[in-house]
Order: sequence, then structure tokens, then C-alpha cells
Amino acid sequence: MIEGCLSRVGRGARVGALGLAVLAGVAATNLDRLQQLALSRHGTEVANQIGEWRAMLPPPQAPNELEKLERVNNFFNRRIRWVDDAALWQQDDYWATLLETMAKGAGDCEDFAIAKYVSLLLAGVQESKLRLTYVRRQPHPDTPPEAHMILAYYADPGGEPLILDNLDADIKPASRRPDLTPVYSFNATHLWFRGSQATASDPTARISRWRDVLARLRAEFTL
Amino acid sequence: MSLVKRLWIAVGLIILASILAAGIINIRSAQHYLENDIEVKNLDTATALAISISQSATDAMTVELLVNSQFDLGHYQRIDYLAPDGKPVVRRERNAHPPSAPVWFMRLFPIEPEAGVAVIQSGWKQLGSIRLYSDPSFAYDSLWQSTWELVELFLLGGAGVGLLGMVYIRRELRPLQRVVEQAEALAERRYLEIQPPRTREFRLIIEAMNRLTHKTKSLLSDESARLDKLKTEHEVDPATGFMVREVFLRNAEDEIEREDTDEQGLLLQVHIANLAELNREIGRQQADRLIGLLAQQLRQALADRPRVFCGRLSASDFGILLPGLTDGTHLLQPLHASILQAENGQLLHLGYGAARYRPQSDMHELLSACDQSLTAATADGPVLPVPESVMSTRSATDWQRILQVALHQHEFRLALYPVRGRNNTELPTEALARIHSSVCGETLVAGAFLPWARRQGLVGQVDLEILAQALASVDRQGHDICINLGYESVRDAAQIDRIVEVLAQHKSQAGRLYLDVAEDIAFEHPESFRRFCERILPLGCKVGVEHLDHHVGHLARLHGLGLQYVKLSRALVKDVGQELAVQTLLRGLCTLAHTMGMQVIAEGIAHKEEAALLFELGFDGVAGAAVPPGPRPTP
Repeated sequence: MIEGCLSRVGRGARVGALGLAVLAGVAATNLDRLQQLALSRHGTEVANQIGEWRAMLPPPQAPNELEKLERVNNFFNRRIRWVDDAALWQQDDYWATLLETMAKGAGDCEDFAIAKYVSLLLAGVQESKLRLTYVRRQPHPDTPPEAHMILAYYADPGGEPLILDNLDADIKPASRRPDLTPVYSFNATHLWFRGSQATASDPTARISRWRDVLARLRAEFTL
Repeated sequence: MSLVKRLWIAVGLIILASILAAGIINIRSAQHYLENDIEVKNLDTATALAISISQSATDAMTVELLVNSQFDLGHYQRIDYLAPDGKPVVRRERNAHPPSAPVWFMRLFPIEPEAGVAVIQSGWKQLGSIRLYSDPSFAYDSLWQSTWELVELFLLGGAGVGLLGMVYIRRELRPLQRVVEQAEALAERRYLEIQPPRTREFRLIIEAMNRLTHKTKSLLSDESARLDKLKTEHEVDPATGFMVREVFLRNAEDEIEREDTDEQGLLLQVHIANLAELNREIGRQQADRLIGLLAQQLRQALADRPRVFCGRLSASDFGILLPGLTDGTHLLQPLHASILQAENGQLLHLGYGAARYRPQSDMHELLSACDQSLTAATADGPVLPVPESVMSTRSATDWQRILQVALHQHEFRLALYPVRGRNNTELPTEALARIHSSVCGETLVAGAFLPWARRQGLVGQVDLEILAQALASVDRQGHDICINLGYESVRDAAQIDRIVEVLAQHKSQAGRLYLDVAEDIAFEHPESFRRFCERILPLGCKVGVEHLDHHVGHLARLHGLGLQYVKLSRALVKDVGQELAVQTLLRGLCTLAHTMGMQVIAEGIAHKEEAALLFELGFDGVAGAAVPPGPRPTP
């Protein structure tokens, strides 16, 4: 529960709603339970990996956010292989939760971005600083552009973001990534309707991929 | 409050509760659905707007312009544009459309959708976010309207279900009515057996009451049979099955004196002249057998006569009282012939005597008159001395005229005879019919005119006339009154209809009216009598059996009819002071009748001592000379 409360730093106003959600028996952040879930669903190995992930997670009170970014970015870029959704999930496009990605040991760009996004929230980074961003990627003018997703970190709302990308091991400011053109960005800040109600139990949440994965993350005690 | 009403209220409450619950759940889910729907729409619209703005805007000014144009052309209630640091830049708002739903309804079922929020950026540069609000009043209107539709539907459905429920409850509770009827019948000591219904509880009750009824019935039958045996032993000559001398004399005297039977008739005597020789020649046993055969032939020959009394006057003499008959010749011829034809019949040397009786005839004088007229039968057949007529007879035409005039001119009158209960309490007054005839200037008693009325088929009309008189008397004098009905009134369905009609018109008096039916009708036509009781009793009248004597042993057959009383014939109670056996019989009879819920009244009691003894035996009332007419006791 400590992690749960801390992960809500950016959403103090919602703490009351969270309390209600806990009373109502709806899942809230609880990494011990996440680990138990990993054990019961995927076995010891995945549970151990979750343990390692938890060990890696920087404490929320740590002052240096850049270092948090580094640790999280490196953890996932090193541990998770890039595999196409069609090969991994037999689906055109599937947004996996952190646990699913860890269990597979693989994922595509959204899965990286989601895992990093969730991990940074747990590490105490304010949600308003994080944006999942659809980008157009064209490394060379001769190659055809491709759709891609990265996690952007805005240290300052009006400033230039840092890019956490699974295709580039280093965290770079946006201006040093000419291959990327942003299309649209979003985060979960305004999706927390009525506490938890609008997540797992709300059928409309399933229509949107983003809200669907948020609901599943919550069900797995990760959010 | 009746059970049906209570169940009804319960059904109503259940329906109401289920409608309320279903209604609230329904409205709640509609409310959530609408709210959710608006939220999703807000979110989608905000996202779409943000994406489109992100593609074209390069600075805050452009964003503002785009937001303004969207607001002006679109249907949003409010759009806010916030700077990246969260400070509002633009706020465009329309006045909310006033909802038609009432305030309390909106307070009860609030629809408060969250705003749709989406971020805007140009390249990597954040330009802020937009918040988009929708007007929920249309949703309120829709919710309010659908709530009304729901209420209408539920009221309709509830009424339908309630109607079905009522039909069902009515159907299921129908056996309860029978349970109540049976229980009430038990309380009135009527013993009804009822087909048990399917409902378990009702079935158990009815089965239990049926068992009780059955047990009581068999108890009554046993007691009845015991009384019958007692009576037979006491009254019947074992060799012939005829009454013994004393009983015959009692019955004959009663018959002659009674007002409501034929005024005149014939006493016939059959004499066996050679009984002493027969005993000697063929032995006493054979002689007895022969006498039994004679009795059987007599009984057969008289079988079709409505009223007849047969008694063994002595070892060699039989008395036969034939009310209403004046000449026995045509009866005697075939009788004599059949006796002669029977086995050893010719051994009997028979003689016949006869005497006519009229209302004041003395039984002993009649017997000696008979004895003197005894004439032996010859080889040609029996010779019946024709006794001289003892009274002037009117012709049939005279009687027809008397009756017609009496019916038309309402010349019927009631002669009232009080009946007293224990401690001199008053019981329904016995009323006997008379005609104050303007044709002959005489007062005629029922015994005189009824046989003629019967021959002319007027008894029904006479009974109705008497009934009307009785009702008028009840109305006038305010006492309970008791009248006799002829068998025509009991057996003829059309006549019963007429009686029912008259009684229905006099509901308030009917409750004070007691109808006596003679035992012959009650016991020999039980089905007619039962139907009569079923028709008459619901109108409030009381019904009883009068002149009970021969059928005392069958008293148990009267159970279940709802009779109020039985009146015991004078012949049965006459010797109560002298004979212990009679007392035993009467005491048993009273107990039996009381068990069946009937009062017991003795007819024709002459002495106060006799009345006292009867009350001691358990009688509820006495009528006759011991009860002087005159001022009634003050209550």
C-alpha cells in the first residue's frame, strides 16, 4: 500500500476516491500481490523477474529524476526483446500490461512505453510530466516512414521533452532525435473518472485500447 | 378483515415493492448509462479535437481560434482551453437548456458527466489542454421521460399481475369457504362430509372434520338402532310384527282424535274362530306360523294404503284401523281369497267385523261394536257387515264449493295452541288450520277438509293460504308460530318454488316461522325432504318433524338436514308414567336428538305431572291439554 499511496502523488485529489475503491474491493496498487499473481500465473521465474524489477524501481523520495529515467529505461531496453504483436500475441495490435510484457520477456514499442510509464509513476514521477507519444519514425530519408510509440518526459511543461525509446538505448532530448516526428501524445491524467469505477467494471473502458490496458494494469495491482 | 382482503393487501404491497425496486434499478442503470455515455462522448470529442488542433496549430493564438470556431459551430455546452501550466486561457460557455425534469428528480438521479480532457501539442512543444463539457439537461429529459414510460408500463403490468393474483387467491381460497361451512355445520350439529380439497392445510382440516363427522354419524346410527330395538321389543308382537294391543289402542285413539287426519274411517276386526282347535290339531308352533302367514297377507293387501294401523288385539283377533275408508268390502274380498290360497290357509276359519269411527268415537265402544258385528266368512267369501253411517256426509260437490269459497274469500283461520318449554318458557305456538265456512256456516277442522282438499288437488293452495295467515300472524302478534305442511308442499318442486317466493317476500317474518312436516314424508321420501330443507332453511325458517312415532328408530337419518326439532307423537309418550321401558326409550331418544342438535317436544300431553316427568327425561317442550291456552307468561 505504501507504493500505492506514493504512486498517487500527482493525484492527491483522488485519494478519497481511491479509499472508496479499496473499500469496494477493487484492486489498487499492491506490488506484493502483483508478485503473487506472477507466481501463480507464470511460475517462479517470472515472479523472480518481478522481484528484480521491484529492486530496480528507484524509491519515490529519490531526488534525481534523470537517474530514475535512466534506470527504468535501461531495465526494459535490456530485458525485453522487441517482438511484433502478430508473432507474440497473434493479434494485429495488442497493448500488454507490465506483467504480461515481463512474462513474455518481449513486446513491441507500446509495451515498452507502457512498462516504462507505469514504472516511472511507481518511482514517484509526476504523471503530468509523462506523455505516451505516437511518432512518425524515418531514420533515413530513403526509407519509408513507420509508426512508432515512445515515452516523452517533460521536465518543464513548456519545454523540450526527453525521449525514452526502445529502439535507441540512450535517453536523448527531442531535438537530438530528428528521425522522430510527434503526432499525438496522451497520458492517464484525466481518465480516472470516479476513482476506480471507470476502469475494470466499466464496459465502455474496454472500447478504448488505452483505457483497456489501464483497467488491466489496475486489475493486476500495478496501478 | 377477511383473509382475502389481507392477502390482497399483501399482494398489493409485494407488487408495489417489486415495481419500486425494479423501477429504481432501471432508472439507476439508465442514469449510469447516460452519464457514462456522455463522458465517453466528451472524451472522444476532446481527443478528436485535440488531435485535429495538434496537427494544425503552432501557437496558443491559433489554438484559441480553433477552439472558438469549434465552439461556435458545434453543440458543446462549454469548452475550456488551459495553458500547459494549467491556467485557463479561454472559456467559452453556452447557457444550459432548462430541463423539463423536476428538480427533485435531478437531485435524486444526478447525471454529472466528467469533462473530456485532451492535451494539445505542436511538434514536441506542449500547447496545453482542452476541457470539454456537455449539457446533461437533454439526458435528464430523456431519463425523466423514460421514467414516466416505465411507471405507466409498471402500473399496467402491476394491475395485470394484481388481477391474476386476485383470480388465483379466489381460486385457492375457495376450499376455505367449505371448511368454514363444515365447521359452522358442526357447530350447529349438522354433520356434513366434504370432498377434501387439494391444498394441504385445508385438506388436513377437512379430513379431520370428516373423521369427526363420520364417527359422530356412526355413533348416532348405533344409538338409533339401539332405540329401534328397544321400541320394537316393547311395541311389536313377535309372531305377526303387528303392534301389541296397548300400542295399537294408543295409536288408534291418537289417530281418531287428531285434527289434521281424516275425520272418519273404519275399524276392521279379523277373528280366527278356530284357534283353539288349530293349536290342538297342528300344534302351537304350526298355528303361530299360520298366524304369521295371515299377518303377512294382511300387510300385503294393505300395502298401498297411505295410513293404516295394524294391531294384535288378542291371540285370535287382529284390529286394523283404516282412516278415510268407509266401506271395507272391496278391500276384504281379495284379502280373504289370498289367505285361502296360501299354504294351509283354508285351515283358518275367519270372521270379520267392522265399525265406523268419527272424531269423538270412544275406542272401547268401537271395539265392542266390531266384536258384535263379527260374522264368519262363508264358502262364498267374507261377509262384512256394513255398519250404519255415523255421521251425515257432505257430497264431493259440497266440499269442492266449501274449499273454493274458503280459498277465494280467505276463510282460513289459525287456531293457536301454546307450547311450553322448561320453566314454563314459551316455544313456538302451534297453529292448526280451520275453515270458517260461509257456505255451511260451520267451523271445519283440518281433518275434515284436508282429505277432500287432497282429492281435489287443492292442498298446495291450502298450504299457501295457511302460510300467508301464519306470516300475517307473526307480523301482527310478534310470536313464533308453527304450521303443518302437507306432503304435496314438500314433494312438489313447483309448490316449493311458490313457498320460497312467499318466504322471500317476508324475510323479516320468516325467521319466526316453524314448519312441521309429518314423519311419513320425512322418512319415506327422504330425498324430497332433503331438497325441501335445502331450499327452505336458507330463508331463515325452521323445519321440524312432527308426529314422530314409527320412525323413532331411524332418527339418525335426519342428521345433516339442519332440523330444529322433532315432535313426538302422543301415541309414543302416552304411557310414559306407567311404563319404565317407555321412559328408557324416551330418555335415549332425547339424548340422541340433542346430540343431533334438535329439540324434542311431546305432543298431546294431558297432565301437568306427565309434562314434569317428560322434562325430567330430557324433553325440551310439551304441547297439549297440560298447557292451557290463555295469557302467555311474561318473559
